[in-house]
Amino acid sequence: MVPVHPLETGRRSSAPPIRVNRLSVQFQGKRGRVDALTDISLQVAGGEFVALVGRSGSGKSTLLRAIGGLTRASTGRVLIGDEAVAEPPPQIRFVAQDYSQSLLPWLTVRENVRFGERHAVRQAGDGEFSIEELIGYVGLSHAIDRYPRELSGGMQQRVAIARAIASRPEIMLLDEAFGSVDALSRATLQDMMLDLWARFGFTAILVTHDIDEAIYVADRVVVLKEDGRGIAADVSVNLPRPRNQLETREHPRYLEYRRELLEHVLVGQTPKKAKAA
Amino acid sequence: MTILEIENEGTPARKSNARRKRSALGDFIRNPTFGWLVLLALIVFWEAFAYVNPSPGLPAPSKIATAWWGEITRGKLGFQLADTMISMVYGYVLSAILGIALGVLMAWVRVFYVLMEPLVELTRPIPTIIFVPVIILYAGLGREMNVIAILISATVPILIASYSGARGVSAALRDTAATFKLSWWQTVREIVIPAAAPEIFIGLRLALAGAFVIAIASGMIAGNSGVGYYIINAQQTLDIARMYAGAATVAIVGYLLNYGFLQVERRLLHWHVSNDRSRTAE
Repeated sequence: MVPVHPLETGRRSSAPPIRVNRLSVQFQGKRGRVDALTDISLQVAGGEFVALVGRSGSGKSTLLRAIGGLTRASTGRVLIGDEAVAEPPPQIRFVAQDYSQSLLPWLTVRENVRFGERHAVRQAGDGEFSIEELIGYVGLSHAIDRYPRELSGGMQQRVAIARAIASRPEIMLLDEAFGSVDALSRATLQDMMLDLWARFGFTAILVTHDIDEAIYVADRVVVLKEDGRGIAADVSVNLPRPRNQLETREHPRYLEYRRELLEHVLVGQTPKKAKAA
Repeated sequence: MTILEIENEGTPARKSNARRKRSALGDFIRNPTFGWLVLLALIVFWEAFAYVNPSPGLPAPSKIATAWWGEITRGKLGFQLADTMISMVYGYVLSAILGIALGVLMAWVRVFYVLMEPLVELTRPIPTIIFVPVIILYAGLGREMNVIAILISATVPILIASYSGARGVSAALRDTAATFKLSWWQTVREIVIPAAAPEIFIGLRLALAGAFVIAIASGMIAGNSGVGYYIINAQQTLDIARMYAGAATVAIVGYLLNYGFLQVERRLLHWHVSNDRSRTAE
């Protein structure tokens, strides 16, 4: 879907591996302690695209925030390379669901993306893409001097993605990043992210509640149990790349993965509710 | 309106349209021009009244206007106005810097909050004007006195607004600052202050009005200089036209200050939703 563009092709990944070791996260809620995650272990190789799925309250966003250093581990730890995560690691960038909150509303599209470049993980090398090329790549050249509130949701999310890319991350954490836009924009954003991922070789972890989206983008789909009580399934997705909204979704194995994962998500849930009903 | 008419006219919207058309007077008194015309009529009435009943206690508007022009161009009024405005600039600029800095620090550094909160809570309800005698005692009757009084009055609203704005920076923006690895100072400069700007401007505008009042009132109480001193002096020497000329000057300058402020605000906060004139999307 992506036409010829000036973005340089990146090398395949130099990103550090992520290791989650027996991670538990507890919050102090109004009615006492809440266990958001209990004893989770997970490894993600450099350059991998992993999707975290699970029902609401399975702690998938908490796990992502813990990897990104935004939520403290109660016990266990997260390692990026050999470094234990205590605060947001320098090589990570987030793209959140709530784009309207995370963009800087007082800056134009160009200035928002430049913000990413100014606070980059590493400085741009010679002959790398410019801010204008990057904005053109995400299809926003016509809106380059507009402010976030003048853009649609899908456009704002593209700005958020461009801003993250401009700071040259080694790891991208995507929290429902394609979740709050319309279905067509969503497909566009998925393909855009896949293309960027292939080009720049960053590691991507996507939290989503959408099984189809998870299979479509990821190398591996990790299903969290309810209430974050462990990992229910860890399924490698062996579908050809580059993926394609039409062919990939009609691939026979796609449907098998879909059935397998749906079973995990649905069966894995709630003996409590079954009893109550 | 008869039943027959209602039936003929159909929808309520059309009915109200029809009613508006009939009442030209109703339209007229809803028009903003009406208020200005009433004011103009009062001035004309005043002029006529003063012409019929000449009295030194109530000079005609035309006399006041003549006195004003003379005082501004040749007399002391221009000079005293400049004096007031210089104190204003010093006091207001200093309190903007102080108020924003302390407000942001209170929001982001716990110790500052603990230290400042009692002071702010105690100062807030006190009318600044009661500080004036105290300030005169220690700072004398020079410009310092007026500047300090303005500083006290203007800093508090700016500080409170800045504190509230800086506290209100959304969790998502704080996450953005954290994940892009902004330093403390970068976070304040690039995230907190712009995000708090709409609220800071509310404080700045309140403070501007308050500072102007104090700039004039402090001169009036202390009798040292400025437009306030000019007005009280004119009143005491029974030069009533000059007194009104001074008062008119205060009104005009006050209006211009607010107008100018709104222009600056609109320019600086054009990105903000409250200044939105066209919501567009793809």
